[in-house]
Amino acid sequence: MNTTKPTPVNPLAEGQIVIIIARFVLVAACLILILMDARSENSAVPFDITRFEIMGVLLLAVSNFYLVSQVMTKRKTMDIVIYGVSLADLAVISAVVIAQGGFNSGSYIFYFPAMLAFALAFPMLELSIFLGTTISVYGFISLVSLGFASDRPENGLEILIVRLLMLTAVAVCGHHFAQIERNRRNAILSSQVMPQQPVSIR
Amino acid sequence: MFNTQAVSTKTREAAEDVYFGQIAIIWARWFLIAAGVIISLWSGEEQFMMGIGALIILMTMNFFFHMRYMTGRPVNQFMLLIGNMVDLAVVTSLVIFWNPNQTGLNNDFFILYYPMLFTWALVFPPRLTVGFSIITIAVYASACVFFTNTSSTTLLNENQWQFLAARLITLGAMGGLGTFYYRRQRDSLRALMTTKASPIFK
Repeated sequence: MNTTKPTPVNPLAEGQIVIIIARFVLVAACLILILMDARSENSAVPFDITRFEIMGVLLLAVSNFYLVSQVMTKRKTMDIVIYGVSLADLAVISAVVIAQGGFNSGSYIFYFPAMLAFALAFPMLELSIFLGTTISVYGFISLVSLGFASDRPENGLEILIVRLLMLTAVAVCGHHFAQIERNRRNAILSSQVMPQQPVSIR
Repeated sequence: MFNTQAVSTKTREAAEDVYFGQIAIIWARWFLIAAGVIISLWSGEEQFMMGIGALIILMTMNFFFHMRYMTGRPVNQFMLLIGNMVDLAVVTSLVIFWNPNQTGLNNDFFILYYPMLFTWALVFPPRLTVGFSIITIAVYASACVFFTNTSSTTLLNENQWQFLAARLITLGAMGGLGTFYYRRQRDSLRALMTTKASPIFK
């Protein structure tokens, strides 16, 4: 029987495992895609860039093993480390996007799982900073590349706004949901009886 | 032997999840509507009329859901399911029909699937989430394979398969990470309830 008195929920410690899994998804997907592209006969990416992409992804994997070891050995990871590796994720995705031509790169979709993990793990202020940074950096990269691209789509700006809006949607909805879940648990922790209305929904 | 207590606890938990979590789905749909407004503003006359039709359907539905939520009588799981199927149909229509020059894989509005799939995974049990994720991924993959403008004789060329793979992996990751978080929350809530119910804790 569990006799340990529960303590209030720490969002960052609780969400760390989501960040780790999201990073493994990112690493696996990036490696598969880079290798598929490298094997392709009509690959447009020079080998030097492929080499740089693979090194970046492997660095992410190594840093993720450190996070996994902290969780497995039940040691607390310093908050600054979690924020640092999260920033590294964004930097690697942005670097790949730049290497592949900015706006026309399809790799921006990897921002979505990353933002999902941040939304569930980070407190409001830190999430706002990460979201603002992502939107600013990706928006800037896209606008610059759209300005220089000869084959830019006629509705490029519209597409860019929709991309940034959906990134915001993932962050806002995820954070809101995580907040609701924390409130539910804190209500139990503070010995309140769970509300009865939920069972009466029709 | 049939365990009625376990069944009723599970049913109650599912009802509470829908009760508390559906606001995330509602907010994700408001973001979808905002994206629809932006897309419609940039479109031609015929597309604008089509877009407004879809927006009216989505807004009416979401007003109904949001009002029910705000008045403490949220809609049930079945109605949320219908709502998400409507979302899926609208987004898939955008991907296939919105711009004749950018259909299927060439259409950028597939990103509207991401918040939809994510919030679904947060609110519903894993079995339903897996089903809905598979349906969404299958529908999008079919739209890409059968409706992409391609100059070659094959359905998609090598690069296009890579793009499609990346998108499907990240879509799957949104559903997978969301449902992983959901399971952790349920386990955590159950553990807390057990602790609170134990005589030693009292």
